[in-house]
Amino acid sequence: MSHIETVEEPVMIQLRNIEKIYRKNESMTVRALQDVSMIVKQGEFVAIVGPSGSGKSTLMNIIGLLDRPTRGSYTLSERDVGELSVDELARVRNQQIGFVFQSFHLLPRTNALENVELPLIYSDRSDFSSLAKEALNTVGLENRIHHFPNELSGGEQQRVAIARALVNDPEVILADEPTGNLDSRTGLEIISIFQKLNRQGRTIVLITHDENLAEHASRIVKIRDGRLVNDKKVARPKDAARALNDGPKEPDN
Amino acid sequence: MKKNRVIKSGIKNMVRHKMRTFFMMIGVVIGITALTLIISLGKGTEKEVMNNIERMFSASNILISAGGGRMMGGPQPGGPTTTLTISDIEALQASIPNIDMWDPMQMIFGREVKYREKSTNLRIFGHSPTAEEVWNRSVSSGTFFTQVEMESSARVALIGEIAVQELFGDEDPLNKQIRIGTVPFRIIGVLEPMGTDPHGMDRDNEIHAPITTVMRRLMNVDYIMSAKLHLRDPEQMDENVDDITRILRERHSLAEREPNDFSIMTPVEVREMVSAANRIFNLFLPLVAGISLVVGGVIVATLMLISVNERTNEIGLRKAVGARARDILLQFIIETTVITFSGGVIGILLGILGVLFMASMMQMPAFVSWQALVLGVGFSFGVGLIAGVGPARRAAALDPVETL
Repeated sequence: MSHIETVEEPVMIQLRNIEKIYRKNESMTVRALQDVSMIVKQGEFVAIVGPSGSGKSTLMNIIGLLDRPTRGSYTLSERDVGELSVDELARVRNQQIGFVFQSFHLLPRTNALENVELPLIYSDRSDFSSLAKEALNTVGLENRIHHFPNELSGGEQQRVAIARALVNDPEVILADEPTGNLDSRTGLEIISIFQKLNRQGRTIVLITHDENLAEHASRIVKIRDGRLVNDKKVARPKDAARALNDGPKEPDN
Repeated sequence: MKKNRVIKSGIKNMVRHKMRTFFMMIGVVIGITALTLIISLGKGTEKEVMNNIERMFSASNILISAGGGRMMGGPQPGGPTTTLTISDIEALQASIPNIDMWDPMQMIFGREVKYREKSTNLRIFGHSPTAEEVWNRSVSSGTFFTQVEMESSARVALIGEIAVQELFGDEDPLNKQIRIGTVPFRIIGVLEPMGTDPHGMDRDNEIHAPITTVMRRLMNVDYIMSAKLHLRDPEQMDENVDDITRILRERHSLAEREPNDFSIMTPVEVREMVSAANRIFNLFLPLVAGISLVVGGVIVATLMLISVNERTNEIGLRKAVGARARDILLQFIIETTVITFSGGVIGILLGILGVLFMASMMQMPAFVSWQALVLGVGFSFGVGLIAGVGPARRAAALDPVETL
């Protein structure tokens, strides 16, 4: 089933003229983002690509409701988040956004199951254990749920992080350089999980500087010096699962 | 956010970081142990002291001591201690009909007492036969000394139970001969046990003999240290005190401006002294324990603050996945309180062990005051809340953007 863009696909993320300015001191201001407008529809797999300093992290923070734009509007799933209080933003993050970070950010000395349960603590759900197990199954870690992060490989840790991002059934998965700390083969495994999730209908926004990685998405948005400079569909996204099967079998580390 | 969950994870955190938890707890444990011990021991001895006082110094008693200035706080004569005599007291009884009984006292602070090869250093008290009634202490075996023995300065003695153990072991001391200093005495009775008195002296580790014998044969003096008077009608006490003062000043030829060379103590003053002593136990020492709790709280707050600074990643992550500022605040306050509360429980258990230990060593009844437990629990909780608030607020204010 291929994703054909139709006008019926609901809009998940809509950014209009987003600007973010930091004041370093009285005389110096940094324009991290200027006049950024974009739309992400439900079910898309978008990669935002840019070199370091391009503003892609700032953009991710704004999309992820961790930061507010200085100007412009952001509508998430038909709700204008500009008016929301800090507490309300936290709730939206909890329910609608799943984060995956470059350095995994798992709680040390806490096993995989409890790591995945973390977002549930701040929600109204009470069936922690079963939801977390389900999420871990999705990423193929059903046999590792009681392991601690230092007993897991890098790839496995990132998979725990993905399960954590999924556990509240969010509408958007935001991944910030998810393969940055992994070797290329493991990185492919992670990307193949994202592709699988996308095929299941999840909206995924991937931020990276790696063009090669970005080509696994179905749409690439380029950002440089705080502005979007390119936005085009990928005709044939790379298939990470196939690359794994075809490539030389190396031991996972 | 589910509070049970947070409490459980607070406990898990505590167990995971054993070293850090240990150091955080230590101040609280010490403080609460001290508090439990002090309050329990204080209340325990307070009871025993009050019992002793009631027994020895009822509302109908007056104590006259030689030398001006307070005596019961310790030997601190403000004036000559050689002017009070038995005939002084006889004169008082003659002039004040309300005095129906009296007993003079002399004391040697320590003298070597020998039985065969064993020897020990004991306090020697001199009393008259009325002491049995006036001081409400009789013999548990044998007999008290008699008026005849008093008049003849007989070399007879009563011995306390602890002293018996020291000199005689399991042997029966009655009718045996001992030497007090170089003077031989015959034991005619064993004193009733009395325990520790308000000054901290062990009243079972002493010897009583007729005061005349003590004055003439052991001390070679003609004056007494004190006398206890028993009044028929306690209502007349104030009047009697005035009379006593007047008569003694006359007999001692004191000029108008000269201070008394004796002091008179009434039950009112005794109770005041006991309250003052109690103040030490009930106020001052717990204050000291409280200081160590404050120190414990500072330790907790400091270590928690360091922990917060180390855990910025975790805090940022929690906020990213939906924790609000107040969730973070609550989490850290609960983590702190779980630790201090556990420290308090440990402290209470150690305190109870300490009370049992000290009670067996000092042969006192083991008494754990419930006030100590309540205070211990309350304080350990309170310290946790107060110490946790600062670091928790800092944690809650962290911006996830900066930490991630």
